[in-house]
Parts: sequence; C-alpha cells; structure tokens
Amino acid sequence: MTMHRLLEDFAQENALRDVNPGVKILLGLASILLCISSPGPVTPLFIAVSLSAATVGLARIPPRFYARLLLVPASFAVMSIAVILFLTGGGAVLVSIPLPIFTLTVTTGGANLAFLLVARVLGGMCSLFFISLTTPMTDIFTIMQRLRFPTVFIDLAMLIYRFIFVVIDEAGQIYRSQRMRLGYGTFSESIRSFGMLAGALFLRTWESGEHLVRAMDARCYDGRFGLPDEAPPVSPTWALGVVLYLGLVAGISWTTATITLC
Amino acid sequence: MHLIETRNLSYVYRGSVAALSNVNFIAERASRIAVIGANGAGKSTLFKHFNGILKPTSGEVLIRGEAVTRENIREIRKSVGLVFQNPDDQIFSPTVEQDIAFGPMNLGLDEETVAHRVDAALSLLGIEHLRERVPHHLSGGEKKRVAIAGVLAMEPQVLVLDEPTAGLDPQGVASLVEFVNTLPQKYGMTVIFSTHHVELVPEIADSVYVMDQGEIVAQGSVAEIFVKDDLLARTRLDVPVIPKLLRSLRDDGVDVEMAYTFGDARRALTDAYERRR
Repeated sequence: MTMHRLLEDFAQENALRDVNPGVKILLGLASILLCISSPGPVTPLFIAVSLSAATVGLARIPPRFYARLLLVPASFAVMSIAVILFLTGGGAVLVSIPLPIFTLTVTTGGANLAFLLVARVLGGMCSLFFISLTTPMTDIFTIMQRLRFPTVFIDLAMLIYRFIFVVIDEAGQIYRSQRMRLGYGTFSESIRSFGMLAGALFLRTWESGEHLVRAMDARCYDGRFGLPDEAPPVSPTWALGVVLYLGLVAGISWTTATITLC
Repeated sequence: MHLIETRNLSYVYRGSVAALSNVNFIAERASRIAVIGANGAGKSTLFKHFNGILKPTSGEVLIRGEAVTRENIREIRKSVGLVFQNPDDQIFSPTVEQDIAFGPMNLGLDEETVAHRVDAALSLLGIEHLRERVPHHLSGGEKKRVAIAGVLAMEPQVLVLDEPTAGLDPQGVASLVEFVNTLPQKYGMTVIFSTHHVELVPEIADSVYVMDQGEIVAQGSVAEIFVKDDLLARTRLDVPVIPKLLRSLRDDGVDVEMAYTFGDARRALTDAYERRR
C-alpha cells in the first residue's frame, strides 16, 4: 500500500463505478469536443461547472481533493494566459502599463481571447477529470477490447498498469527504509540516497521482470492475456441523460456563440 | 510409475554454486508431502524443477514417467501447478478475476469454461467478494489466496506450494491448512509444500522430506522424521512442540500414546486421564 492515494484509487471506489464505462467516456469525450469547438466562453464554463458538480455530487469524489487536482492545470493556464493577455491585439485599449522601455497594453481582443482560453482549459480539464475519476483503467481496458484495439497493445497496457503500482510500492519501501536510517539528513546525503534508490529500483525492476516471465510460463502463457470483463449494462436513464445533456450543451453553444467578456 | 520423480537431480547455478545435489524425490497420487529445511536448503530450487522452470544440470525429472521436453512442457505445467512464495511475483493482471482467468485462457479453453473455472476457483478459496478488485488493494493473505486460485483454476493434479504460510496471520494459517487438507480427499490432488514452520507439518503432511544444503538428508512418515532430534537440530530445524511434549512425558514414565497432531494429542491425553480414574 502506498501512503498517498492516487487518482486511480479514487476511480476504483467512486460512486459511479457501476455505470457503463462507455457512457461515461462518451460524455467526457463529447464534452471535450464541445469545449474546444465552442466560439464563446459560456459553453466551456457551463461544462466545467456541470461536470464538476457530477464528479463531486454523483461520483462522490471528495471536494477538497478535486479542488487540489484542478489547481495543477489551473496554475499552468494562468501563466500562459498572462502572456496571451498582453501580446494579443485588436479592439479598444483597456489597460496600459507604461514601463521604462515599452508599454504593456491589454486590449478587448486580448482579454476576450484569454478568457475564452481559460474557459476552454477549465472545461476540458473538468471533462478529463470526470473520465479519470469515474472510470478506472480496468474498465478502460474492457472498452479497448470492445473497440478491437490490437491485443499486443492492450496486453502491454495491462502489464504496465499492474507494474506501475508494484514500482510505486517498491520505491516507497526503499525510500521509507532510507528515511528510517536518516538517509535524507543533509543535502549531499539526499543526493547519495536518491542515487541508491534509483539503482536499487532498477535492479528490483529487472528481477520482477524475470519473475514475471517465470510466472507467465508456469501458467502456460500462449499469447492470451485478459479475458474481456463484462461491462455493466447501459442503463436507459443514463443514456437518455447523457444525450439530453450533450444536446443542451450544443444548444447553449449555438445560442451563446457571440457572447464575449467585453 | 510415480506422479513426480527426480533421479539424482543436481542443479548448479552461476557456474559454481551447487543448489541441489543428487536429489531423489518421489510424489504419489493424492499424497500430502512436506519438504522441510532451513533457509537456503534448496526447497524452492527443487520445486522449480517440477514444472520445468529450471532445467537440471544433471540427473532427471520425470513427470508421470516422462522427462520434461519442449513438446510436453505445456501438459506438464497444466498438471503441476506451482504457487510462488511471493504472490506479487505471480499476480500480474489488472483485476483478480482476470488474473485467475489467465491460466485457463492460455490452456485454450472456451470463454464459458474459463468463466466456470474462475467461479469455481473463487468459491473454493472463499474470495468471491474480491472478484472485481485490483491486486494492489489486497492484503497479503488475500493476495496469497488469489495466487492459489490462479493455479487451481488450471485444475492441476499436483499443487506445489512454496512456503504457503509465509506472511500469513494465525487465522490465515489455520484456514490455509484446512483448505489444503480438502484437496487430496475431495479432488485426488497431490499437495507438495515447503516450510520451515515445523508445527504445521503433522497437520498437513503424510510424508516428509528433510533438505539440507541442497541434499535430501532424511525421508519418511511424520512419525519417522520427528524422532530424529539430532538430525533436525543439525539441519537448523526442530521437533514440533506436541510430539516433543508427549515424548518427554513418556520418558518421565507417564502412560500416554504418542501423537503428532493437535487432535491426536488431545485424544491421547484424554485417554491417559480416563485410564487413571
């Protein structure tokens, strides 16, 4: 067990686990497409708010965790949007900041574009988080099998999935045993310890790989990996709900296309 | 013809370290065999020869009278199921259900049979509730059960367990013992297991092999092995508490039958008590 809970851990235990994964993925992907194709900022904002409400309210993801998660892309977005705000021209001047060599100006064109981008980033991220917090990887493998992805690709993805957690556990254990013996006391000690961690992890990974081959051979591995899991059936309520929601969003996108910030 | 037989099996690894030398081991149908020995005695190395994971440096491994070859290796792995000591080495699929289905799928069974085998294995180990879980959310004991279920789903004739009780809590050990004991009676399966937990041996084994430094130094029934105090001490093992206690009572002149398991000892002591009254 790792100390930190990962996205995947929440996904495994979310309240929408029993909803057909295809429906959830359709909802998330269609929302992303609507977000990036929308000319005005209203649609992406609507998607951000409604899907966040679904993630927190229906899937029962703790709001604090969700907020912290959103902060990561939000901070990236703010940094890049600051540049766009000052560099894009067009329209009336809103603010101008005189500096010794040049003057920074914000125009209505720049403000509108920056706001639209913020809205799209938020909407897109909320859609993506909706998928990743309600649909665990194990369900996504099922979808990939249904969609006839190449078997080699799915098998590799499944093995990688399993071993990500093995590596995290191993790294955590090595790290904790180093800490217990004061491995990260000083800066130079930290560097040495980190190097040892990386080395030990590499060796253990190598060994795990050998064990894996033996374990697969011992069970007659013949190129067949996972059996397609049975996905929960598509419930009519959910199918109808998703269609209505996407219709509503498309309608909003159509009617609010000309609304801008200023 | 024996189910499993090794003749003068020797195994040398990295060119010079002798892990096994002249091992003669025989397993019969529906028997329960314990291989005991200290750490590094060669138990795991021996087990890895039973399904062709390791190839002998010299000597022979015969499974139902046949040597392990490239042609029959699948048949052999189907009939000899090996459960590794560390379940993390064995569970590699994203979910418990998929991991248990792995063996049957690769035996080329159709989906319906695979699903049936998975259900049977899950219920045999009492882990139906873990079906949809991911392995990294399981406890050590749960992982062990999943690993055993994954092998049993292939319906082997021989179940080989490497240190099955390592890392289990007392309840886990008790339920494992109970489960393992049903296999030879109900399914005619042979169970071979290694341990250095000698207390366990009388409860789940009929015959015992003692290994030391890559050699088999003694072989016999539970009663024959656990009178060899000197040998067990020399090989860094010990006589289990129950026979040790009864033997010392008998040496002190108490009129009590010899016994090895908890149940037999209870009966022997009750009888002795009844006789005195």
